Amino acid sequence: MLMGEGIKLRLQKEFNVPVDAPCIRPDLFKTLGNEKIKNLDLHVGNKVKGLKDLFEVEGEFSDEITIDGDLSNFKGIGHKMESGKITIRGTVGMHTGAEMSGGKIIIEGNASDWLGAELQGGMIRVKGNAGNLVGAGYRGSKVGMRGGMIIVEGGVGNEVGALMRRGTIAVGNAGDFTGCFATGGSILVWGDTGERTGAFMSRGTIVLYHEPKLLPTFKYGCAYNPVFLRMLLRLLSNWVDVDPQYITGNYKRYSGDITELGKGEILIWVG
Amino acid sequence: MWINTTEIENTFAEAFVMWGARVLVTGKDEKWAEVGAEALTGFATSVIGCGCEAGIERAVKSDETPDGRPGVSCLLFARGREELGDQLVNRIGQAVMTAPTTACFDALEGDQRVPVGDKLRYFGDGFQISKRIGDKRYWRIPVMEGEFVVEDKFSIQKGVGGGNFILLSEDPDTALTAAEKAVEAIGGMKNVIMPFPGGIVRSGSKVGAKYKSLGASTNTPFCPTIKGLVKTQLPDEVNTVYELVIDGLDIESVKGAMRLGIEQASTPGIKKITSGNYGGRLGKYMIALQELFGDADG
Repeated sequence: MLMGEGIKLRLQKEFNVPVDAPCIRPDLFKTLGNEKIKNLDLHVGNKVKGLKDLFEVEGEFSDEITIDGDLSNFKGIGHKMESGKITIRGTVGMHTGAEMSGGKIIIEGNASDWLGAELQGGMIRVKGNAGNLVGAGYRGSKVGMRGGMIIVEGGVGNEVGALMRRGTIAVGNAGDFTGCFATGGSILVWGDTGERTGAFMSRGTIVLYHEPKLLPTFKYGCAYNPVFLRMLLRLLSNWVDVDPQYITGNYKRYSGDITELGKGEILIWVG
Repeated sequence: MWINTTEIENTFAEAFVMWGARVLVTGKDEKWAEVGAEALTGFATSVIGCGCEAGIERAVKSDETPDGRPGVSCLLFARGREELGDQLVNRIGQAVMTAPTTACFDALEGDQRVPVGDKLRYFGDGFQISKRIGDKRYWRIPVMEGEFVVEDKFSIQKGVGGGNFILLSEDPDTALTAAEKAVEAIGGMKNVIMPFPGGIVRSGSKVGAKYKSLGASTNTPFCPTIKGLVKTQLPDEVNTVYELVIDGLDIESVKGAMRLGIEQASTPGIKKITSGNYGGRLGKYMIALQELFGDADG
């Protein structure tokens, strides 16, 4: 497979209507020549346009895509991607990286709702903030994120990791219902969390570094230094700055949600 | 062939295919990592009576371990895959899980894997938790101290058991000192262990016995006290014999350890170094002692 330095897409103008762009994915690009890439269809509002009508396309086709511009209305970039890398130098819209199973998406600005929804593998990193339902399961789905990793350096909205089964999400601040209905996986919140954290979770781990307002359906166990969390934090330290005290310190462990199976846990750092 | 004043006999060590695993035991500090590792590798001198051969490979610094705590790397060898899997489950379950603060990880990139945490998890009585970190799966088993973390599956690979050399000495102290020197040198090597106490065997065995119930018995040709009663392999001036047994993950590592050990043990008073074999009938590997040293001839 021919590999150049990568495709660079520069947005020619801002769009006020939604642009459905699931075709922007490196594993698809690398199977196409430059001309075919330029003629890929995108739904702009109720019209179909070619990629070249929206973007200046530079570079040689490869498994790496760099996009410049305000993509706030672009939905589904990297949807179901299996490999390669997308770098977005700006803000991006909903469903970015949804259902992806491999590769990496780097977002240098903010991301909107449903970032990495039902993610199965790979990594998404956001240097700004993200919206609601990061890594969540779509309405009607029984399972959300099934693997991979999402790191948001800023804050996220509500229902981060809803219905999550596997994988890791690490965020700055989080809104309400963090990890609700989770059946596995790990969510770490370095900052503040909103209401009803872990509601209806049956399994999985939520790690908090600021004292939350806990639901009464979480029961205290003990304070200890979980070995598995040392491992997870050491892994995360490859991408984010992890305070060494978080690795060596103790955590209060609460089991819940006892209205469900009760095998989920909220770990609260106590130092 | 001679090294210093020691004769290296023109013979070979006969080694066998065994299945090996590398287990990393970590703990709160070096002490507890060692306690866990020593318990894991205890009573594992010979597959004849212990089910496996095991030993400590090396200490592992905290920045090299998955949980950032000090660790000890151990190698375990058994005759078959199933036997090794059973030994791993039994030993990790009984010896490491019971040791304070320890955790247990697979530290080999072998071509096959056997379930370990996947079996031990049932000790959690329904409260065990699976956790996938990176591409590996671990089990968190609640214990009275907190949690025991063990990896779901452990890698195994074909290795080599039974690399050996035998020191023939004029007196016990010289023999023990030379053997200790060899063990100390080999102790710094990767991929090999010396499973016997202190790395040294005083009761080497031969195949068969006069008693039908025994498959192996004392190595009479090398026992100095009965020199006059058996077909001995010991010169008149030899009064003590020690054997050093080496198991490794690959034949080159075993050969390297044997070469280093023989060099170190070739000291004044060690009359000869030989090795144990079965005439080449039983083992896959024939490690010629003199060939370990290429063209060297003292």
